[in-house]
Amino acid sequence: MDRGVDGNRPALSRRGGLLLGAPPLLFLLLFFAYPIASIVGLGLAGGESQGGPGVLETWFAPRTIDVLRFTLWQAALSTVLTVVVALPGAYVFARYRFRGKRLLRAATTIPFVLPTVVVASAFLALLGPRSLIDDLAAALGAPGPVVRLEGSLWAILLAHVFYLYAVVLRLVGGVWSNLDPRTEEAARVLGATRWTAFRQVTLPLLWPAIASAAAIVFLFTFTSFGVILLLGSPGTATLEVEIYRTTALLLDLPVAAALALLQMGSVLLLLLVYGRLQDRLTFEQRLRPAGDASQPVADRRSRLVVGATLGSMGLLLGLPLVVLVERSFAAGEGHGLAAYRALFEASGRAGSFVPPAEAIGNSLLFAAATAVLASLLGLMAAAVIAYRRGWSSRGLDALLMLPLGTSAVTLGFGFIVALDQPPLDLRTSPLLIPIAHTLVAMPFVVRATVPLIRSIQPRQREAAAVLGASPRRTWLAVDGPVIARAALVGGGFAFAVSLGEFGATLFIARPDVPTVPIAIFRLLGQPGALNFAQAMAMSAILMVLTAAAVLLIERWRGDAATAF
Amino acid sequence: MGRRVLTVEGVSLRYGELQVLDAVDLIVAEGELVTVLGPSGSGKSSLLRVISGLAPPDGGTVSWDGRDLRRVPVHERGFGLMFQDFALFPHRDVFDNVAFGLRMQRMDTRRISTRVAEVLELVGLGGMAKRTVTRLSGGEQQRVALARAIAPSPRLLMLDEPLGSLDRALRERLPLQLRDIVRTIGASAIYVTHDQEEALGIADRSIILRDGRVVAEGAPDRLWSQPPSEWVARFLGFRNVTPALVRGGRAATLWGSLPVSAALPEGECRLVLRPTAFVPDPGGAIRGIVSARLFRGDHVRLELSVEGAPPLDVEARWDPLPAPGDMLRLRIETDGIVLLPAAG
Repeated sequence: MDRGVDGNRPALSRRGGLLLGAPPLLFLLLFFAYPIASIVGLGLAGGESQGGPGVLETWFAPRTIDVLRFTLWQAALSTVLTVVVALPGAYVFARYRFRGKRLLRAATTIPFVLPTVVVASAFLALLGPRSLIDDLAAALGAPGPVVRLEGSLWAILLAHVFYLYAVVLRLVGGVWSNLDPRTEEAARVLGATRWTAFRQVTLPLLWPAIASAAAIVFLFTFTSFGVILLLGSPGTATLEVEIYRTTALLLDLPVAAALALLQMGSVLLLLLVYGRLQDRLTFEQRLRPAGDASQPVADRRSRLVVGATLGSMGLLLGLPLVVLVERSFAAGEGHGLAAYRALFEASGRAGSFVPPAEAIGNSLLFAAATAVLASLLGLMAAAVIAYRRGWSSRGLDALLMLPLGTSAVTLGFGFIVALDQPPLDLRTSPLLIPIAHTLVAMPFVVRATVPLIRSIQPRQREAAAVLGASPRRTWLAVDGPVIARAALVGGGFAFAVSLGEFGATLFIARPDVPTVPIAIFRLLGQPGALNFAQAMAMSAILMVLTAAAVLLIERWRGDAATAF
Repeated sequence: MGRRVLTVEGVSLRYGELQVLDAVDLIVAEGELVTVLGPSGSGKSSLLRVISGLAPPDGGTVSWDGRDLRRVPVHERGFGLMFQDFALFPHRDVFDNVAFGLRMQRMDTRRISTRVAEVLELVGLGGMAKRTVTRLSGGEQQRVALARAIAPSPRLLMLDEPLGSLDRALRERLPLQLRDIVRTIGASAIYVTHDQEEALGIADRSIILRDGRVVAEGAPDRLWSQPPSEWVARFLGFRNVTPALVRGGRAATLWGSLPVSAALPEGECRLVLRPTAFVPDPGGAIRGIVSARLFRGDHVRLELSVEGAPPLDVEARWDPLPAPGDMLRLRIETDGIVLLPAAG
């Protein structure tokens, strides 16, 4: 009997599962487990042998407590602000039908997929020292700068709301559109005002969705790095930023390791709390299919609500990106391509002896390598997860998600600690960056491809076999095309992730081989209007590249998989 | 008819291009139970949404005791609405569902407990107060929804397809119970359904909606015995509609020349032949072969195929019950022949 075509058997034998599962597992062991273990070792050993502070000393130092307090404070504020700002949007998307809704919904996810460096640049363009607002004010004769938000908490909060808006919109809006609007109407008829009906009926039903969206936003902002490094001031350091500064500026690896331990512990704690919350908050509710509950924008009140919400949404999510592009053309007097031209010229003055545009080539090369490596390893893992059942599938799935729960800064720091010396000295290897990016991208690749592979109906294989196809032909005809598409999608994801990766790259990029985000970071650190405009130009280019990659992925994915 | 309380005058409602309600009039007297009957999509539920204030009408007025309700928001109307599929609050138990309206009235806690217990007793759910609503059966959920709607003692109770999602046994039993409960609380009531038997069985008065327009209005027995149009007749389940030429006490119809009552005016018209009015008669004018038989307990529903004419619906109670393939000769009692108004 043929094993390959029986729909009731796993489509992959145990031996095949081991064979396919081994490379991704080995990769994780070498480039994730080993560096993390090195951090733990270094952190626990502390700097005591060299006369530095011990791990507990570092944890309870006033500076650490300040940093931890600020990390929690900004994350809490960002979370509350994001939820409050995005809730009306979720309502409008859940309850109303209007022209261009699909397009708009897709557009709202653009900020979420943009690299953090681009997000930070956009808010510098909007609120920073060379912002559009200041230029306009100066033209009108204002004596000094009008907005001074860079380095303030507000810039950080706004940037967080900007790119995490989509999380709340998607999660809460999704549940909201499945709530029966008549439950709220029943409350209205029973004597509840609009507000009371919302508070007593809709809000309790939305609560689980709001809580999980808030938890995700909190996790993202708790581990926020690029935005805070670029928009913050020395007084506004999160744990991530502090790990970077301790490593790069103070060169104190033991203390940085102790901080990284604190960081990993906090994230672990957050994830545990999140898991508990999910169990506690979900209760049975009868959900209705979506689409049914939305109404056209008919009366004056709806027009007002929808108009105001979409307007402010456009302002919040659109304006920063528009201003970013505008600033990239505003080098010196008037507007022009000066900044873009300068990208292609080496200038000793700016501290880099290669034209910044070379970073684009580097980034594309690294991204391509990452795409190949991540889609290869990711597909192997995805095949095991999708084709096998039981512990091997679930275990590998869980293991692969681990790097997702670890911050990029911790990963980058782990590389410095572990891979800089024998037995594994990859410091000068050109593969170091693709390896790091693969680690960050692989969870995404797996998440995106498993549903695709799972969507293959065993019946299709059986049908092909009954029609006379050999097992090999069956696999080629049924699984082959899906896997090819999954590879494309996974590779695309990895490409996009690699293009924008900042936290880990900052630790391991060699000075003479910068990536685009690193080049932007360096340009922003240089004085002068032209450098600023170049940073904006580079950010605009990165934005376009990322958006193109994401659009292509959406295309390849089709409607088969929306589980991500 | 008692004092009129609810007056709906010329109410229109459109969703975009779709005219959902078109100049609908409806009057409900104090303590009266009016049923609104119509096929799905005829605007029945929308009418209730307009009356309750959930959907502001594009035209026309809804008034209570002569007072225009246009400026009275939903929550101040004091009406009860029981939704199709019930729309219970899934996160609250039975007690909290039923108590919701009372809390909105700021009734004190002790009186709320008493009232909820009383209402649950009335709908036959005594002792179920602490149950989770999502775990209840369909029939129990229906009772919770009813209890929730009547607990605040609404002056008008509206029921939107209250039996829609229940199984047949419940559908047969519950309408009468519903009517009794409505009578007990003494409210006026509007009962929406697409089921003719349900609607005509319990109503003081009925209106029939078609494409957002009122096409019939009256006491159930009147509507049944004298449908105002062919569409209404067909909607009420009469399939035996025929063009006829009446002359000299007989009518030439699709199914033969039949003796008719002298009261029928001479000339061309359209007639309905009631399925219950046929009797076996070896000399009858109607001749056909039983092509289908549907067992209905105390009677059988026959489809009689008649040569050169559409099949005829016949309800047979006589002995022995005919079987498919049997050749029947029938006549029809003259009071089973109903004249349809000319335009229709």
